[in-house]
Amino acid sequence: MAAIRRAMMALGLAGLVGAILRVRGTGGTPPRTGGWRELTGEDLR
Amino acid sequence: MVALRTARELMGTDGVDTVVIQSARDDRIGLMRSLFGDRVGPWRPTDVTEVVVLCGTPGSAPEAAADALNRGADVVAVTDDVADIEALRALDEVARSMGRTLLFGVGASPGMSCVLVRHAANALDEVLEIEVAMVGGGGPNCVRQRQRILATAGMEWRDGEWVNYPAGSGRQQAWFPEPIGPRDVTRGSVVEPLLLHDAYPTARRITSKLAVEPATRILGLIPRRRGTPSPEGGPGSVRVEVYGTVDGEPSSFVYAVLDRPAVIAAALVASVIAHRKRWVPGAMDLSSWDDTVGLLNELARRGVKAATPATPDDIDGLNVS
Repeated sequence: MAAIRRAMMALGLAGLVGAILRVRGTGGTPPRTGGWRELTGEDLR
Repeated sequence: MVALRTARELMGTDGVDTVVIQSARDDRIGLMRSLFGDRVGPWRPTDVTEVVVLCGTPGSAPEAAADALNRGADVVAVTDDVADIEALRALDEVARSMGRTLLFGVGASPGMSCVLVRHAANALDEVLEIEVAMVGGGGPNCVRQRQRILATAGMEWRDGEWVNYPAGSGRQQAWFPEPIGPRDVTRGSVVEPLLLHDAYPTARRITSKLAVEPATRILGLIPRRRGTPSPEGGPGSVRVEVYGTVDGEPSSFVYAVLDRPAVIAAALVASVIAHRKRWVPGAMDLSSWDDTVGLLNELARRGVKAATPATPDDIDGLNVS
């Protein structure tokens, strides 16, 4: 019974770690400092 | 909600006298009449319309477009369904023979995405890579369609060939304007690669991904009852990155639009109708719209403003909003 409990605990922890990894995205283009600005002037020629 | 928003936008468009609406919901027509009076009414089979705007469910646009073209009307179709887009493209000969215009994929994505890509491409000598990302949906039906797209395998253009990918694969972060910020996006049966490949045959890589709700990442394999989406959805965003060359040197542009997707789609439909004098016979998407400056200015007038990441010079000049 103790072995079953340890196995269930291991599976639970593995599932939790897997869920955390699924929540976090990976890679992507990092943002540029300062946010966004509207297109004006030279952008619209 | 896209149809209602579009009707409201058309009311403020020069050259539009009346709008007739065909909808399963009589209350929407009544609401519009209470706001705009006799300029809005229910569609009748005897009506002679100059432009037909299609905002129906997936699968409904091709037959309705063919019928409208044969009755002598121009058509604007707000659809993101791959099968619909393919069927609408096939109406090119019908549209040309009737001397009429069929614009398809005129929504947030595709549509606004194609306009932003075209705006970037106009500043480049050669387009080499295009990345499109989108978050949000324009109402309950649109959100459900987005969920179907995310659950269906899609294709990307990579190094000279079409590559199939499983739904939900290729997860990466895309950075949208605040308050949305960084969101995970994944593959699905999106339309942009098909449309953009025709417009930019030199591009080696064309991708388009949609944002995934956080709960879906955890519970994606477990069937669950999805709650009813809010009537018009929350803020959404369309973002494009276009890489290419200028005078032989690498160059790139990043553009985005932030607003409720239904608002983006409605403003875009009304804007292209406001520039109807530029229409030519045939069936086409907005990748072929050359005057992106005029269109973006028209959209900005309607409150839908394109943006680009701020530079240090912008910050020094306090141009960051």
